[in-house]
Amino acid sequence: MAQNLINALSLGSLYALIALGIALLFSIMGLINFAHGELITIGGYTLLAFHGLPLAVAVALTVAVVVAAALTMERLAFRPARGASGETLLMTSFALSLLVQGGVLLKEGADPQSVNVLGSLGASVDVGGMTIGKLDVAIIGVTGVLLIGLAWFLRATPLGVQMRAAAEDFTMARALGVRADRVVATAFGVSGAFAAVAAVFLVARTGTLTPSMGLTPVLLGFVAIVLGGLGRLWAAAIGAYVLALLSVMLQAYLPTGLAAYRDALVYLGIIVILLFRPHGIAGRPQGVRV
Amino acid sequence: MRNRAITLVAGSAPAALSTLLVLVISGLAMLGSETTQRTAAQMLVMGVICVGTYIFVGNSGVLSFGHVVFVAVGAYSTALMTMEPGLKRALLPDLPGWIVDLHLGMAAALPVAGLLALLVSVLCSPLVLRLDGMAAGIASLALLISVNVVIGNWDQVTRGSQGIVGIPADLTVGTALPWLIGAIVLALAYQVSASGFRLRASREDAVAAASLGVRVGRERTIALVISAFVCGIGGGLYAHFLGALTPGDVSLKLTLLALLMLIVGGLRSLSGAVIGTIFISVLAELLRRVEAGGDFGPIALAPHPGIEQVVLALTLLFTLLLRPGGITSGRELGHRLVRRSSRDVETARTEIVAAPEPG
Amino acid sequence: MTLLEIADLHISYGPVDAVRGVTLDVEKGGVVAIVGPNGAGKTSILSAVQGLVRTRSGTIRLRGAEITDWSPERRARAGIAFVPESRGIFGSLSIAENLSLAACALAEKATAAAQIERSLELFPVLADRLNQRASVLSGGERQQLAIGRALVSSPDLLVLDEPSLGLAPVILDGLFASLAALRDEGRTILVVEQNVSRAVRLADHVYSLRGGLLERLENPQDLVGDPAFRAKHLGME
Ligand SMILES: Nc1ncnc2c1ncn2[C@@H]1O[C@H](COP(=O)(O)OP(=O)(O)OP(=O)(O)O)[C@@H](O)[C@H]1O
Ligand SMILES: [Mg+2]
Repeated sequence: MAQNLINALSLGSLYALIALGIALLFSIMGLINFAHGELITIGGYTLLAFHGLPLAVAVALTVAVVVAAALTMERLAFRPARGASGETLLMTSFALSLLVQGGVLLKEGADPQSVNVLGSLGASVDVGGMTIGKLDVAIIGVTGVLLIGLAWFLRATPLGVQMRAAAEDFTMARALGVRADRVVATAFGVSGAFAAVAAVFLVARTGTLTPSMGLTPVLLGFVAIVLGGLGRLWAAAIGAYVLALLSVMLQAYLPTGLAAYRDALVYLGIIVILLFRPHGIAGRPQGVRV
Repeated sequence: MRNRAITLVAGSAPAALSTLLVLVISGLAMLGSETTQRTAAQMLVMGVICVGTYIFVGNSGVLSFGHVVFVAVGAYSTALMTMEPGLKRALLPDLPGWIVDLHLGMAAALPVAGLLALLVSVLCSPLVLRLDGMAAGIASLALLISVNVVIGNWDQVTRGSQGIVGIPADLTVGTALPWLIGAIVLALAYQVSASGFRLRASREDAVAAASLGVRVGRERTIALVISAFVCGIGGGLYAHFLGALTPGDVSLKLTLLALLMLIVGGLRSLSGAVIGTIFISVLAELLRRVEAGGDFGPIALAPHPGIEQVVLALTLLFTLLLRPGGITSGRELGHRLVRRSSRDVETARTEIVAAPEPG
Repeated sequence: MTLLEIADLHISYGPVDAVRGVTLDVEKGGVVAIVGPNGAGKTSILSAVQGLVRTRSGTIRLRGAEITDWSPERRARAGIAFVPESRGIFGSLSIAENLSLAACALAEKATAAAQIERSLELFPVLADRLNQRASVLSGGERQQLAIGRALVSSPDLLVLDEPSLGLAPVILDGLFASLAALRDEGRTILVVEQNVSRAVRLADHVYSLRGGLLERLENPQDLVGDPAFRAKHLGME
């Protein structure tokens, strides 16, 4: 039981990093960023490229590369499309996702590659009779720090306050002098940084890389956001932990015949939630977008 | 009365021209090599799927990632109807006896497949009735994924992730062509019908249309079931094109390919669906050849998997950024021929909702 | 000196021509009021000044420089502050955060605290509730916050859309007293106002907008006194 709980917390932290990265952009510019998954893929392959360097250095470089990729996406694809409908933005992100996937395929090939970034994190510690993986502890701890950092940024810095204002009413925020470009670029930067950290943890957990590795995480991120509520930042994080708890519990307690259908059940659940609460469990309708 | 006649003539021009285009290209392909003919057959299948998707997405303006669900239903049901009973018994021992004994030809099986897809769409209709915009997009994505999981695990019927083999892979340009033409005619008939007209009015301005008495939900449902029927038939053709089916064949990838074709061609016109299918099919085939490598006269290329995807993605990206209306930009083929009559309410409505955009 | 020049402005929403060739100058330090019936296009003009709607043709100049293609944030930084009809209060932000937001349009960030202090002196209700979420404010309080916030950026041009809307008479007195104080301080104000008697008292020039066409009123007092004149310019009552 406690083991499951730790597992759910660790998985939920991973989902939360991903979901927050997506929710941040959605709340500010109404973008459902499918290409967020490819930021994770870029992170994974960057980590592979820097394999052999000290872990901290490799992680720092990975964060830098992924943030740069996110900013490039914003500058080249999303900025020209700003003001377009949500559907157009979504399709733009699909195009980017295909593009990056194709690029990785071209460069690295389709075969799965394995990378061991764990090092000493692979070990586990004994706490009161329970074996807890050091990796789980690291994931939970680092995510906690990042979430607190984000909350602080949004509360206590002028740019953070501007981002919250832009999330509520982008047009009015601009009318007050808030620079749209800067707010959106910052959001992409934060989103990229979260994706990079998520990539590190994901690769540490699974140890494998494929060009399409970003798909499942991004879908789970969407699910978490819908569970929590579209357009609400912290609801997305809560949705992520609930989703992780649900899937760990389903995994543990679902009869074996049904276990294979777990994902189908989760996604059907999403549909039911959307049918009854089109803006998510705790969501609210979106305001005017620029 | 006269107006109605003019609208009909104006409305059928795009279908006639699209059909002509398809006929010419198919004719040319029949002269080509076996690979070319196969590519053309695949293009025709994608044409049916795209036209089917267009009937709903193009007319309603609601984005759907879920139409591949109908394709999947059509594909698997056709396979189960047209495979050799002996083979079915060997591959799928748990299948009910009457399905095992069923042995139809493709032409007989396709309408049944279409009807099954239509039934499934009726079950899905609450989605389009209640949801709009982003929520509809996400819900249809979720639907697609859950159906894909089910297909991947329902060993008794779909043989799970191993997939079904031994479907008669007998689709040719000649046997596929009539179905695409039929799909185009059906799409056109819907488009010029009163229901299609009302739905397009709601696409342009849902609130205004509702205030004029258009029951958006009802019109959307009508479009959905017709569109599912066509997609189901497209799925059946697809099964006969592939000869084998795995869950991966009817996944997000196929959805994206169909949407890519629709967007590049122009999401808001039937001609756009047809032109997009042709354009992307030809481009993809060329890219596949480059990707596979080999000798092209003076240049020899090493195989480069990924090129096709990169170029198609760039095509989509540039379309969205530079020509959001796609190649046809919302116009129908032949609109110049009938400009006077087709500058009708629809164009006027498009102008009404050209919403102002903050600087 | 002319602070704001609007020349031959056209605004359309699809086939609806909301503003049909409006030309209007606002002198520095002057107060210009626009009156007119519902749907006349008043809000459209003000939104165009802040850059929130796309104009079909015509030019807008600020201190002689053409700003027609500028983004809303650039205009804010150039000294225009807009109080929309809906007030544009950020309900999820605290009152202090709402006020501080406008400071990003200030050229000298160091003066932000002093600017906020000034707004709070003008609208003391806000001072006691700085850390509450703005969503709890009443309509009148929101209006005060919106104007107070607009003043934080120390704008050269204050653009107000129906400031009296939904305010109790007592509050109205205070509001117009503070607008008059701003005027006397030398601020330039462009205001759309349905409360004609107050608008006439506040403004140097009054314009009537009907069906997207602007007309300067030579004797704006008649709006208060003459029922026929009133009906003509404000719509049937
Ligand atoms: N976003 C929009 N889309 C379509 N039409 C619009 C839009 N905004 C305004 N209009 C139309 O333009 C015209 C002018 O509107 P505007 O809001 O400028 O009027 P107003 O003078 O401010 O009216 P009120 O006194 O009611 O506030 C109206 O007919 C209105 O219906
Ligand atoms: Mg108004």
